[in-house]
Amino acid sequence: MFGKLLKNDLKAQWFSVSAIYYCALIAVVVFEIGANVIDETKPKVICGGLVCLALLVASVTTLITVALMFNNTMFGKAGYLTLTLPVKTSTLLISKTVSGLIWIFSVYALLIGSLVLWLYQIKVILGDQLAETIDSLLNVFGAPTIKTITLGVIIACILFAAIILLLVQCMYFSLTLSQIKPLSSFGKFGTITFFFVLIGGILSLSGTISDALPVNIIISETSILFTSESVTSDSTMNFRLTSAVVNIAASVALHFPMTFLINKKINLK
Amino acid sequence: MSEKIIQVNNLSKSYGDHLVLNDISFSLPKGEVIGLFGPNGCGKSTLMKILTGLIHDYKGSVAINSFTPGDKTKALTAYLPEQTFIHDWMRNIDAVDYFNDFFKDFDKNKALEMLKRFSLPEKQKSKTMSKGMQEKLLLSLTMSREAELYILDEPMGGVDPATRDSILNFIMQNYTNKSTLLMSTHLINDLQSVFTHALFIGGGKVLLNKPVEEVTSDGKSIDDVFKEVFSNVW
Repeated sequence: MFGKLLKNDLKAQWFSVSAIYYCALIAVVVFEIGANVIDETKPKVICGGLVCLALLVASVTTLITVALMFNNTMFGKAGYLTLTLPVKTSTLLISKTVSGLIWIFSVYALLIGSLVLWLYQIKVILGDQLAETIDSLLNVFGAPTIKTITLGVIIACILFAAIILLLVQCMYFSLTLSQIKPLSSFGKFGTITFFFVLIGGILSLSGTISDALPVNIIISETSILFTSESVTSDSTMNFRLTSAVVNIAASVALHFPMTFLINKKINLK
Repeated sequence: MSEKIIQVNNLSKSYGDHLVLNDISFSLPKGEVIGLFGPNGCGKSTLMKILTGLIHDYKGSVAINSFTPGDKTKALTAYLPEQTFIHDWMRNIDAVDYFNDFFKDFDKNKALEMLKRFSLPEKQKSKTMSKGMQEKLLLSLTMSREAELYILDEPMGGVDPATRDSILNFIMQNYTNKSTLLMSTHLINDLQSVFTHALFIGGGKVLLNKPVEEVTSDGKSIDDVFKEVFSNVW
């Protein structure tokens, strides 16, 4: 049943996000054509930057669209169909979270891809020799090398996924909470406020726990190290693993009160 | 004594200070076509939503085939609400596929035949159709299930009299005697011939719960009895 739910949720969300994807695609094509037609260096870099900007806008819009879709299919008119399916509420919610994440990750993958292409474009324009010079300069000043930075970006993307999961769960939870009286009387303003209070609270909690129980990932040119020690070397990059784990745990934990509220407290209007 | 499909005990539900259902208890027999009658705002839709598991904050107990409304009862209940519930992205064929995916008792071929019969193009988006066409689509989907219990909330509320007859025929042709049909309507005159059992609610109470045979035994129609009962309430 989960597979069928996921298939239909992906279809439903594609209906909403496809317009964003088409707009982003048009922007990418226009800017890329612009970048290739123009023979000068500066406009090429600007066009590459605009592609990234277009995809950044697309990724933020996707996030909002996923939230609106959840609200419509659970608590809007379509809720009469969704909530009368012979499926457990918990399964419904997991499917909505997974499908939302798939779309959000897809657009972020495109964004990161376009950033990498843009950086590559810059590297080509600057020439290999200049890139090597920059790398040498970074070494001289004790900063992370390009290889370390690349590895760091990959780890950052993985940890960022935990934040996205938390973001989606907080959006869904706020929308669910705002269906309940007397909170429902605050309307959209209330939903947005719950969301920021919730996500702010969880992020500060994960920060506090991370300070108390630090587990860090240290990336250097030659190794990836897990340690509770804080390394202050300029040539390495540090990431806090504890906060990512707390964010994932909080996202999972939010699932249970959400299921309870839908099963016991929320009446479809 | 006939088997019961719905059992309601001491059910109360209020919206703020307004008590819609006030400690009502009743049971409904299996295999009947049950008319749920009452004036506007008397709690017919609320009762149906409670039975289908869409309203949770009520007092008392409700059971369908001995199960509290939930996953099990949703699998055996086909519900047609008053409003359109089809997702905006769906074309008619997508709605058929959706039902086919989730309801084991759904007959896809029957649904496709019904779309043809009602001249509903498979590839048309549901949200671009008129209210009457949407109602036909929802009925086609609901009645293509071989459910144990059909709950239809004002299934002919927004259609013209000619279409009304065709929809009524359609419901009766597609309903099997093994099933129970609970239907709310204000069109008592038009529909009274199909009902075998009547449930009147009003003023928060159950005012009548009898087989139509008994209700009309002294030559009165259901409509006459309805007027009599409710003239005493209001």
